[in-house]
Amino acid sequence: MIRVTWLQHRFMVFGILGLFGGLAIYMLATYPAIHSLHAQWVTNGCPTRGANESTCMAVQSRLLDSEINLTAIDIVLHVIPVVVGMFLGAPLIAREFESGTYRFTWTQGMPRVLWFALKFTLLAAVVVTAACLLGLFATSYSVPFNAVSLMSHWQTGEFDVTGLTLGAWTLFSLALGVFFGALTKRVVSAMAVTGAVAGAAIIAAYWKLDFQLLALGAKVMKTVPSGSGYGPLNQFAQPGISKAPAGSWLVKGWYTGPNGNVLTTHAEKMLTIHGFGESKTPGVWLAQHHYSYWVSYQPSSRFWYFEGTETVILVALALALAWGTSALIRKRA
Amino acid sequence: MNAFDASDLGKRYGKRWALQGCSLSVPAGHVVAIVGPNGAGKTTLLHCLIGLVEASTGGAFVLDGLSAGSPDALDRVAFVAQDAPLYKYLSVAQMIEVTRNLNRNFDTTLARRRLDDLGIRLDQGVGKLSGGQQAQLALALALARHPELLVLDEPLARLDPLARYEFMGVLMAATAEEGLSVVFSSHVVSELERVADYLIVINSGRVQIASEIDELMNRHAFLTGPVEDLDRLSGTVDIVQTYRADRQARVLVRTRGATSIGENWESSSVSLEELVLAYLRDPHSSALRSSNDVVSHVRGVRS
Repeated sequence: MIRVTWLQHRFMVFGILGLFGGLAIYMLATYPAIHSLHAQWVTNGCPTRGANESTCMAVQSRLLDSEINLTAIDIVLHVIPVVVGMFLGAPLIAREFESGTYRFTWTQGMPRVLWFALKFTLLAAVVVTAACLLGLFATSYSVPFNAVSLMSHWQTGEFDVTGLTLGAWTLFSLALGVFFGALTKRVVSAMAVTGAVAGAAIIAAYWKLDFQLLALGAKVMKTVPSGSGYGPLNQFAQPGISKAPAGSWLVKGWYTGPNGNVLTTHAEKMLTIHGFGESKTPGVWLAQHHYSYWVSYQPSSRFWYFEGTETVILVALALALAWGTSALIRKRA
Repeated sequence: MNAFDASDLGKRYGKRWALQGCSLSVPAGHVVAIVGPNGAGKTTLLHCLIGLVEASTGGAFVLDGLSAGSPDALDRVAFVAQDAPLYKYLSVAQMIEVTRNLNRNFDTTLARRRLDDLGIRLDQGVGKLSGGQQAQLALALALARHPELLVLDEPLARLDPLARYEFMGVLMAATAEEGLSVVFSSHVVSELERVADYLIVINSGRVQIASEIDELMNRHAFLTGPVEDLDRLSGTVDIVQTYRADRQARVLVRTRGATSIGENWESSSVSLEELVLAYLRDPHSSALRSSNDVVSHVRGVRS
């Protein structure tokens, strides 16, 4: 079956691996420069108290000004699963129906469900492995940027494209494409629907769902606000700015009044503008006036737990879609 | 052993019944031709037999009780679909490889030898072959599986007369060599007479005829006689079709055994094509044996 799958899908697999490879080569080409800057950052002990502040600022500035197009890398990483779903997943079954070759393949000695299971597994193994490797490299690539607080691995730009989650999104999109291919029996329709649904899912995760996931079971601590600090925060706890544990993800902030009740949004707004707004020591002002500031957060140690959770959800969805596809091809011809 | 059995087999697409109440029991070792107009249900019947579609009612069984489409059936039944769908972007050699990998039993040497005899090169792209060559390739791949039952859906439809002749020649030679049962559907009644010895006629989703051709021909005849004697005649034979001209009638009849038809009637033989056309013109007529006999036989096979 390996040979059959290779003969039938080698060109598309090459194309997709070419996309992976092209991005990897770009990151590899720019890696020495950022690695060198990161080495300077670490050598100077940035951003601790004893570090040379001008050197740290210079390194941070050079990384910020580098010609590396982080946005483009981010976009390509998020588009990869959609491309896999559209160009590898959608035609897998749809083309068999469209060209009529299912009447040949599903009447051979190998039962059609077994044929599908083996083919899907083989293709998934190749693209998911490649995606995981690319995700691992992307994580390593972003370390210098995270170190200088320009980025955070909690942020959705990175959260969805690590070695675990990029592989999981790729598997999910592949399964989605295959399912729509079996459902529509038309290659172009399946590609269009897969692109729309997979794209919408990734965008929804990027803008909304990831934040909701990260809010689950968050810890709470009393701290000092940086800025206004109320409502959804969804930000990295930057060292030297936030008092939250280093490396944690801030979910939400709120204030409680002298009576211990949570302030309304309007009251929070008034407090920050007319209360401690001009104070250079908000924490002192709040304590003096018997107000408290709270944040919910996810400690750094939970990062891979949430990565694993998103991965499990996506893999479960992929398996459900694969099961659905099996049911469709068993029934349809 | 039976090549295949159908027990009250029916297939519905939406509200339309493509096949209904189909009960058949066809012995092995025959070359079975399935004939019917477009949309009659021929392809649906074949697809049910090879398990490509799920029946809406009843069941289909092959090779003495194997459920159609089961792994055991797939191993022993080969199918050549209409238009011989193959992977056009592969070469002939690669198609052989694909087929070999999808089957437990596949005789690569036999496949290559057959194609070599036909002058089809292994390095040719499948998409570059002519319609006849693609059909021959599909047949070679099917025969290389050494099936016990070979099912072909309109194998001659796209072929010119010479290609048809060559195709049927290869098929008949293989049938004689391998001793396999063959089922094929066709529009071309005149050609199937040359190769088939069992006939199934399907019309509007229902089976009208299912019989060995010799037995069928022996049971049918043209009778020519006076129009006024038609009523008396209908008491002794089953009238399939009546052609009237003034006072004379020419009647295609199905006899009920040894009966006296009267001295006013002159008998003549009927060709297979005339017989098939007569049944196709009247979807309600049927030359089947008692349906109870067929169903009870099939139930016996299944148990």
